[in-house]
Amino acid sequence: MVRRLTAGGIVAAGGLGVALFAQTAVSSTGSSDVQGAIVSVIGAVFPGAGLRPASSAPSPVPPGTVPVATTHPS
Amino acid sequence: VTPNPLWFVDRSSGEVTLLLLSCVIVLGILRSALPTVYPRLAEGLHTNLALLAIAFGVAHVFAAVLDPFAHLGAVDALVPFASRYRTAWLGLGVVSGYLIAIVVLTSWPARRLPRIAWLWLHRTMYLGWLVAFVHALATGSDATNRLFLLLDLLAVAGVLVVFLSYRVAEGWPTRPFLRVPLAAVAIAAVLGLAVWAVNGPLQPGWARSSGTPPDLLRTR
Repeated sequence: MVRRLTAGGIVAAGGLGVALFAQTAVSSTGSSDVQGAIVSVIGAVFPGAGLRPASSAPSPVPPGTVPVATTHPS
Repeated sequence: VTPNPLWFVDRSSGEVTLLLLSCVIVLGILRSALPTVYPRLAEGLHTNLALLAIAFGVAHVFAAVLDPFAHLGAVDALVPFASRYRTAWLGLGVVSGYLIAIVVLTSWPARRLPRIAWLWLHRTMYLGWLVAFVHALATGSDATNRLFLLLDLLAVAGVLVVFLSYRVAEGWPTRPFLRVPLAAVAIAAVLGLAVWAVNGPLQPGWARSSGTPPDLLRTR
């Protein structure tokens, strides 16, 4: 019984720690940054998944690419 | 400046440590006041949650030292009031760590001290817990965070209710002259903590007035 409750306590404390970690991260950096960080980690672990943070900067153009001027359709 | 994840680990593990210490105190009071009610369960959980609190406390200290933001070193973590970052409030965290260490070291691996000496050393946990609470409110960046505040309120209320219901009420009929001041001190300590928090860490500009070095004020 002590072992079961201790295991429950460890899981609860760990879960609370993760929740508070996320809470502090969101309150400090904003949810988009946290989402970006999570996606970056997943992308690093599974490079084939093709995930990229939504707010990340565009990839650099290959050298020698000619810029094209565009106008807004409206 | 983008905050280092260690800073989040530092803050979250510190809060979990505080909540676990509150649970340990509650279980300790219940174990002492109700010795015939699930004694092994209460004592086993009391001990195991204390060990878990130590693990989270160690993670809290390591994350604080490794996080590059406040430039804390081993000396800041071991010597009270040596830190340049919020000197007094961080120092209280070190003091609370030593008070809790005294309680743990005098209880493990076996109680080799005379019972009365062990009992009074064990009771320094109340002081260690209170000092840890002041440290958390004054040093932490989350004093005004609603979730942290709610958890802190629950922890303080839980400890106070159990303390008054069991520790104070335990010897009431026989020793009222000892119990009345005990209840008054407990209520005054909690009220004092609340009044100080409302007028201090919960006020705007606390980061500056608490002693954060000026070069760090604009970065977070």
